[in-house]
Amino acid sequence: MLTENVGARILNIITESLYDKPIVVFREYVQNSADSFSKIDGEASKEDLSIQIWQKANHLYFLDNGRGIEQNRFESAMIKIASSHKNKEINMGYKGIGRLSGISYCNKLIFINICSYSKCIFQKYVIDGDKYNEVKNDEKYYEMGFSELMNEIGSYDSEIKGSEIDEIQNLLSPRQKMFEKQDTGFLVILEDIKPILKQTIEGSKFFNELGWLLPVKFKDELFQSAACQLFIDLSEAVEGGIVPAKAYDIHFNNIQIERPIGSGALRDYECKSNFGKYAVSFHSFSRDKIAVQRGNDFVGIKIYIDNMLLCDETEIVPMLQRYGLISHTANELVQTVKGLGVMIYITDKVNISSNARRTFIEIADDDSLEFLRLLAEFIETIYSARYALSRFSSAKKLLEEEKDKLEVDRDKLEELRKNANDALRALARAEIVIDSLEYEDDFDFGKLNEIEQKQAVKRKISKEINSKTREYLSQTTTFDYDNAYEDFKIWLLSN
Amino acid sequence: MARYINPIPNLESDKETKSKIDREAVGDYKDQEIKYFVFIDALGFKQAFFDNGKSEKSSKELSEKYSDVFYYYFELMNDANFMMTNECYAGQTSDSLYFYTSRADWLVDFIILFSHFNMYAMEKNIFFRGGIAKGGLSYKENYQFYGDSVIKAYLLESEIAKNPIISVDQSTFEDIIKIGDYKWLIRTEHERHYIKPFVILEEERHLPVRNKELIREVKKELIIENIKSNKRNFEYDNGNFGKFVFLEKEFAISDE
Repeated sequence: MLTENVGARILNIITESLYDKPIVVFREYVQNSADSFSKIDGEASKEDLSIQIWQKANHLYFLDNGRGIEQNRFESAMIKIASSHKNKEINMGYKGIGRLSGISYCNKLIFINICSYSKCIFQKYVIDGDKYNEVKNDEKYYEMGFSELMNEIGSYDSEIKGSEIDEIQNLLSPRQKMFEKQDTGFLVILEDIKPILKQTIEGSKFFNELGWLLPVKFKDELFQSAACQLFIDLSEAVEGGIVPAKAYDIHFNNIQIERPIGSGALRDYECKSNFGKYAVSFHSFSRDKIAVQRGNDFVGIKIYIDNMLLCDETEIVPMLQRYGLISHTANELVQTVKGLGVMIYITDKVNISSNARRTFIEIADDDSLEFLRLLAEFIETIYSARYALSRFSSAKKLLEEEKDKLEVDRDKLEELRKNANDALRALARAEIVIDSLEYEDDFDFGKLNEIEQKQAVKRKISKEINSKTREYLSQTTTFDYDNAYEDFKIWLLSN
Repeated sequence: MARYINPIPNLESDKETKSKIDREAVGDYKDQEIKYFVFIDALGFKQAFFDNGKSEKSSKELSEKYSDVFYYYFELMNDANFMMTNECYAGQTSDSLYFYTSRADWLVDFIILFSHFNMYAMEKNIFFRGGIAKGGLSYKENYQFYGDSVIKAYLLESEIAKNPIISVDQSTFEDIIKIGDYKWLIRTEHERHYIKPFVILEEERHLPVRNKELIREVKKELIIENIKSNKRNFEYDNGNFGKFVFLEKEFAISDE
């Protein structure tokens, strides 16, 4: 879908406010590559597909051997974006926005569509960052449409010829193995990257951060650990066909990126969990205490969608606090969850999606709220385990120091041990469940005032509609977006 | 298909706080639990020490050989991934090795690791035979136990196994097959199941230890040499001759 009347300011919103962490550039271009892999047909198997990222001089390159873009659609794909029905100023549900994220961090953003590597057929689209900055300062900018802006700052080359082909070949030939079985691909070049991005890349923790961020595989040693079956399970499809830890072969500067969890990062227990039907997860915790382990990077809670990092506990806990779902301070809970390592993979992408900034989930309906409640419940379980273990440990230590009180305190110690054991077992259980929502059927409708009655009826109707919507989506396989509501009504009447 | 089974945390009572009277109390064995018990015996151990006992030198050499092999067993066990779980226990008494666990997946890891160790022992001309049974086990300390799983495993080793193999009872076999595609590990003949003695030769398998440098190289040509040598030595001993004919045949199948 295309929108002509999207303002030029949308690009400003993207560049100035949407992407405030340079590393998200890597997420966006890898996401695009991963999407192109899903469109592959032909001889190439999953093992033949890869993403290569490298930095040379002051330029950053993202190369994949995916489907690329069909030759006759390349220009339109570059200059247009599909919109959602959402409010354009506030909710940015646009498809194709991500590819523009690099403009904040370089002087020139270049897209090379590899239509055929073997026949040297390439197409190019360039966004001139300097030109964009120039246009932004012009009064006309705020009245410009998005397409008009792209015409000003972008330039398209339908088929590259001459010496430019040699330039591209020079870039691709060290990686020609990628194109032995797959002749198409896509290359993104961030030319003359800005100092902030350069600093990010040169940071000592950068490679590790990429390992947490991107959809990469687990290290081989995890498949030889006692919990190897857990990692195998996460790498296989669950109900609905989603593979929680679906991984791609991604390299940065010729080094393969892997999830930075080694067998040494695993603790005493590794447990799998379900968050209702929304997500699967695993968590790793110690038997004697829930506390930060020095030198262990696998700490805190990380939520993934399409095996790409969405957010961690620093976003999760404050969000839960905002919705009144936790009963302790955010700081305390953030510290608590750093005492173990958790990875949560969203598997129900119909009902749970990311917000436009891809910093958290979109809180749109009851499903997303239920997911938050499940998260809150899980964090409370961690909190309970932390303090139960701490009390047991303190009592044990005290008892050792005062052995003459053995007879009396042993019973108390055993009680504390039992509580700690129960708390640990609660943390290790397979499925996180929550108690039924307290407002369900817990009131006398006739005694409510008009507003309260309307609120209760609204909740009841919303709940029913959500349930019916889920049922409808599970039964329907083809959709007509424009007539979606009418189709749903027809289905509802007949069901 | 999800197959990982979450471990069940278990904070043991603090034994150090128990009084001496409690420690010495009779009948304070824990309630019986269902375990997979592995009992493994070194073949001909008694005879070997009897035959070599007359010479101090040969007695010492024999002793050193067994020490080396048993030492390697515990090196591997101490570094094994499954031993970190506190739900597995490995031990030794005289020429017998044992192992027990409540989980079939850790049992499989033990079997894979033992298969490598077994080949190392065969290279040193030490041959093991054993049994794996599922049953009840009551234990006071990890090394103080009794139960029908122990008896069954012993009977599998002494009455059923005959050849230098690890015999597996039906319940254990069914549980192993249920948790994964492990038919490559076990052979079934005449409704009896046993761990293929040279399964490690058939395909490279990751051994479930944390420190790969611990793993000692095994020279398979020395193994076959020992088998052939034992065949010659036991040519007129029908009971033992058959064991090495069997091993020779198993080696040939696995080494193809």
